[in-house]
Amino acid sequence: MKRFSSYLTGFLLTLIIMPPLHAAERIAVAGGSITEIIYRLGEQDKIVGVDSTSTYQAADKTHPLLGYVRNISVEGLLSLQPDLLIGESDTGPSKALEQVRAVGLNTVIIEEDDSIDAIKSKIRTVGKLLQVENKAENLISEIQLDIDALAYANDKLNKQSKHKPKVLFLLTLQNGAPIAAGNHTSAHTTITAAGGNNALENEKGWVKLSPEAALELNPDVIVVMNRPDATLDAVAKLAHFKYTEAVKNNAVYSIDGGYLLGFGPRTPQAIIELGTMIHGAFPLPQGYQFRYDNEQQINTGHSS
Amino acid sequence: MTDTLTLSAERSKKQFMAKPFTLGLLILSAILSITIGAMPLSFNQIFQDLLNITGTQHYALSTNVLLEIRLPRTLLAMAVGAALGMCGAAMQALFRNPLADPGLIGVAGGGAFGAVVIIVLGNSMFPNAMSYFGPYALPIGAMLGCLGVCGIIYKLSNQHGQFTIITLLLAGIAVNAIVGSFIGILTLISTDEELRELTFWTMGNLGGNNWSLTLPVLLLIGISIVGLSRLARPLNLYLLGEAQAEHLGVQVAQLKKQVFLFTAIAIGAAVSISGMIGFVGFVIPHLVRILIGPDHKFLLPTSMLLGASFLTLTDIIARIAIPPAEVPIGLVTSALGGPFFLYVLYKQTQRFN
Amino acid sequence: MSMIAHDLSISFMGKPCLKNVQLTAEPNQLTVLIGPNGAGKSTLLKACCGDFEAVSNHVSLNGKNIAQYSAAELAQIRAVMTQSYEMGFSFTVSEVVTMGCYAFEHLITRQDMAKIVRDVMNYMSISHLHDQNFMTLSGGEKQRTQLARVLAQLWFPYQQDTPRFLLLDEPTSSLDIYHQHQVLSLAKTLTNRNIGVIAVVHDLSLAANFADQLVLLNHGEVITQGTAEKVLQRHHLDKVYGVKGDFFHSSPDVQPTVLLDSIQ
Repeated sequence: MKRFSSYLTGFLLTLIIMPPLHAAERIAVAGGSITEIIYRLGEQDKIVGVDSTSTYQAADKTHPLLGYVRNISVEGLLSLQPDLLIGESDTGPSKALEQVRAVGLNTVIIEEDDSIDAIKSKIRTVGKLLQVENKAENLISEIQLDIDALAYANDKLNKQSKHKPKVLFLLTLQNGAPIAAGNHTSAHTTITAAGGNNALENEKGWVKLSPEAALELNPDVIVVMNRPDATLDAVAKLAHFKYTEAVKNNAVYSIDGGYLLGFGPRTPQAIIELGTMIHGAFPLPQGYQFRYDNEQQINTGHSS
Repeated sequence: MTDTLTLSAERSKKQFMAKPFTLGLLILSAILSITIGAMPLSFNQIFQDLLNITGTQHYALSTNVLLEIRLPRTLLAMAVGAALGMCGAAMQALFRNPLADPGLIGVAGGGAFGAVVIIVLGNSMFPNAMSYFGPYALPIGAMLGCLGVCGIIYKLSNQHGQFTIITLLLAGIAVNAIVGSFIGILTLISTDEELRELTFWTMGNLGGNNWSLTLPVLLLIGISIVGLSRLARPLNLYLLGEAQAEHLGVQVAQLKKQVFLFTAIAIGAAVSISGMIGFVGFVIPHLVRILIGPDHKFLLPTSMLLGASFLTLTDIIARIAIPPAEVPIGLVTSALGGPFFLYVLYKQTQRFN
Repeated sequence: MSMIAHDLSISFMGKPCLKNVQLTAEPNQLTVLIGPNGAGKSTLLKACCGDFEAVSNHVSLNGKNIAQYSAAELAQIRAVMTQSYEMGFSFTVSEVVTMGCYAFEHLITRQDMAKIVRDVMNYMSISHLHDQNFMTLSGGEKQRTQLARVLAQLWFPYQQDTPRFLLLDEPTSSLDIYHQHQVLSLAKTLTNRNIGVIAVVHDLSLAANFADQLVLLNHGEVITQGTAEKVLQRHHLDKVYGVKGDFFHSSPDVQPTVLLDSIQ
């Protein structure tokens, strides 16, 4: 045992002594937003494996799959011979990460919360790791357009001082048991950023809604994740929402989960799109245009 | 009739062969487990690496994979499989029922409860402890859950020095149900990611454990295996009935408590690190009993060795089925073991016709 | 040096099963407990085994309370055959019989043990079954197997100064008439080896034939005890069993028998 532990400390030491100065060439990614950033930076050829949340541009189908972000297989990961593992904060299990580090693989976990500011620093970190800082700055300034537009719109809306619409964000409608976003969720952040009020802001986390509780909330707008077809019909069919303002006014929309809640480069634009759903007329600066796909896989023949 | 007449001779031959055979199987599985994996390592290289452990200071990635990943994992698979096999046999004796399973005394339910609490509530309720224990938080939580639930069940069944098996069974069912509902409540308030992590936990996984996580588990399981092995003879007598065993000179109350304790320790340790791996603890002893008979002098060691080989082999499959990802091992044990067991049952019933 | 139950009272859930029972069983004697169903015979026997901890200080063995013996010590001086002997595990007959040697197996060689097992199996005429699965035996074969196991427990040492005791709860319930006689005559021979035997037997004629002492129980009380002539009197049979009959024991051609009056 002594042999192993001395050997282990030896390794940890080499890790500390030898910082990874060279650019990573073979990258394993655990976390959808990071994969998306790497694609946006045009560096996707360096990816050797992704986790199953990396659905952007069907990355999870073009690269070897490491499994679910919280359940990575150590040896499987190492067999891809990566020289860098980048993961989001929920990469795990943590004991597996420790093992990966012990073996000497450069492992970077980006501990960022789901906020718009975090997107920028995430891009910056990834750019630095891949030594493509310029590309990263370009991407950030692109995103800044969306962030500015969002600020402009919110400013306008505040001046109009209308009441903020009540928005209910649904994760799923499955089995007639809708699950809705309370506070401390990524959806809550985006609703607030888009100038809406989360109808369920008094609850914490994702909540299973009972029909009566849903009727009581009476949201003005309902947004459903990943349900592009016949959203209104599906929502109106549920007793939960049949008599809500949202259904009466046909204010029921669908939006892609990775696009809005991934907190990758497209999220600011997605929030603006959410704003147009919530407010109907969302006052945007002149000349502002949507630039990104609002779905995960529009063109499979992406630039690679 | 000829079948039964030669039962004794046939059986003693099998009993004699069982230990060397399963031991050979275990050694073979261990070698395979060290050689096979997502990382290609040549046999030669492994051999040299093992020779060089004490020697040079420089280690290649392959050496690291071997020493830091495969070796602990192989040992862990062997230990967990051994614990499941042997404790399953001991539980079936304790309940005097060949269908019993270690889960009956609440270890699995308790472990799951501890794990869920850590996964769902850990970060919000005791963030300091979570960051202090890091990767050890989940195994420690699961172990505490096992001990807590087993402790309650033990207390309930141990009244006035009498350790009543029927109370043990009923208390186990009731406490497992209560724990199950607690788990349900916690999953209700869990996030999507936590729920997925929990689901993976319940399907079992032997991966990602370094030496500092593996060694305590090996130690605890080792203690229990030694402890249980010493109970083989009294357990045979116990199968005659509690009063009968007592009349023959067995201290039955003590025997029951020891079996309970050792099983709780071994399965608790196994569950805490590997999650829930069902099926092995029930089927392996059952299968061994069909093959070599119920004598615990042979049943316990053979179940242990066969359990260890079985889990080591299934873990290999779990590792290489869908590289670079992994299949949860609990799914592999059930998917492989289930049909095999059905086949054995089928052969068994056919013999009587 | 004997087995003595003194002032033994037991009740379950408020229902009294034994009331102030006094019983003395001597080594060198076959004591047979008789009485109707529910009279308390098995309860008395179990109390003598030490199965009921609460009353075990009312039972003494060779001058010492059985509560003061450990299970292992007790196993060396008394063997018990209970009424229930079913088992859900497929041990062979010889494996079951070998279990009887547990109390002394550390004292003897493997060969000696094998010899003991062979001897008791011969004694119970089950040698031909030795490698059969216990679960597939007939009721009588199971009973004889269990008897052989209990005998094995008292087979070593063959003879000793400390008296030993054998308690048999209805050992003949599943046996044919030949084996019934064989088992009781075996019990009788054991008494020559300084072993006291206490048995519960339902067949009064059988009991009368072999017993040195009969103990008649009813409603948890000892009605009378002593020789067959004393116990099996007409008024006792009438009072305890509610049958009219007599104990015949004067003819030299037949064994003593209880014969009932014809129904008229």
